[in-house]
Amino acid sequence: MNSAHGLFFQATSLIREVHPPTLEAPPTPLCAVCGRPFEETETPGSAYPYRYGGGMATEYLCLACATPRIAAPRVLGVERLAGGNPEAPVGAKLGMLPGSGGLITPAGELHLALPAGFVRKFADGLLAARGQVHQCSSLALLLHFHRDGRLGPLAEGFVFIEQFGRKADRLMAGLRLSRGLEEVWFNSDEGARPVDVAALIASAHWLIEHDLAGRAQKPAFWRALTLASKGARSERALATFAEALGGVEAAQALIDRLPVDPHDRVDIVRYMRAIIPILEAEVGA
Amino acid sequence: MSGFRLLLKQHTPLLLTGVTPRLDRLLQEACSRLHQDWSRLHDLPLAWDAEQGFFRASQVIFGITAEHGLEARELGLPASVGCLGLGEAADPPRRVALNGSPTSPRLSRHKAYLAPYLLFYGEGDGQACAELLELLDGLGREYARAAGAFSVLEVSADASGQWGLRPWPSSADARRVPFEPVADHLSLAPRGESVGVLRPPRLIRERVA
Repeated sequence: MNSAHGLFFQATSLIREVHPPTLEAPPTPLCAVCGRPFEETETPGSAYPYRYGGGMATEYLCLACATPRIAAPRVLGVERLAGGNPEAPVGAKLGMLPGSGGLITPAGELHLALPAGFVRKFADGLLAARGQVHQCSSLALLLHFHRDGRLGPLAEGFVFIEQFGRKADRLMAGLRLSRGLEEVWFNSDEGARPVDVAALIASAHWLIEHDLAGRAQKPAFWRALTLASKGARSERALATFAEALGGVEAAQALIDRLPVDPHDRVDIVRYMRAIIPILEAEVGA
Repeated sequence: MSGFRLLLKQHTPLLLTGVTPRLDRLLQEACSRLHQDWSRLHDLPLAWDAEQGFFRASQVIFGITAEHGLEARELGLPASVGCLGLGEAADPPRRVALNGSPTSPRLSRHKAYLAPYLLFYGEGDGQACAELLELLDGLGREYARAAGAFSVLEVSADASGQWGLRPWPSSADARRVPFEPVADHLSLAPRGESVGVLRPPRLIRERVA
């Protein structure tokens, strides 16, 4: 049975092989980030000492939690040149990738979903050479993999990283495994929250079938629903929404397919903009 | 021992914990506070299901009405409290905005849930459960910072069997599980070992008249 940190450890083994970190026997019993006892981690008796700067205390991290802090210029790429000096490349780290996400399959393969800038920087890295770097959003990567059958078997657990961000500690402290599309844990540097991706896909299909694909990608279409989800419910706005869908029954059919979580409903436009184009491309193909 | 329903009024937004708050675990905490003893398992006024290995008690259910559904709220709470400079301590800001302002990057924005009511179902002594539950400040995370505050409105008899809206062992007969299950790995009883379970979705809503 996979565990979130175990799977992450497995998927990032290349980074540690090519850029081996200096390790010590930990004087503390628990990893400072994930809180697991060191003897329960993937490398018992071995920890990564981390100090933010001079004069700060040294924290001891398990190898899984330490990996986002390891600069990996050969596996990932060069993030920048220190002070513009070509003799001083700064290696990119998984823990410092704003606007980028990733996916770890149940088999333990890491795939990155990067914006164009990072794709360029990572083009010569080992990960890119293995075809594990993609230029798309993290949610798009998840959908493509699911459609192509590269995400199975789901029940064994996969790790979806919506955004690596800049706070590696928070990303690794909250890292959670997902076992199905009804509850996909969106891991990010702001913690992990579950999203019902299955319901989002079902809603997107319904909208495409009812010729509402274009309108559903505009915020105005969803306004009555997003306001109601935030507590500013207006019966008149909801009636207009129902009318736009072709009646109360049609509106109820859509609402029954939407995720139950009001936070997912507040973000519905963003999700539809990511999902509808992918599903439309499938239907068109 | 009979089936009961607890109807609670939800006062402040609730931050869901990793495992959805469940009546038996909450009562174990309440009893620990009552006896000031966190070292042992206490006798809970709930029916124990020996076959499945759990207390017959549901997880928290959000009670909605025609006028108010389950609503999203954001709670901005400081993740860590650094030392305030003398100037800040002497003249604290009157209004803290979540967007912009120097304080906003220091706040963690937590996604919380607010509904008119909260419900628990169980089998056992409903009145005793209500009295114990009221010893808690709030449900979910950050209860010490006023999240998840509630008060018990009503204890009523209930034979619907909705106490079953909680994790069941994976080995349980699927026909007995009264919901579309999600597979997970957690403990069935307070302080129990984590085992493979079938559980309901984290958010369950119910219409309250």
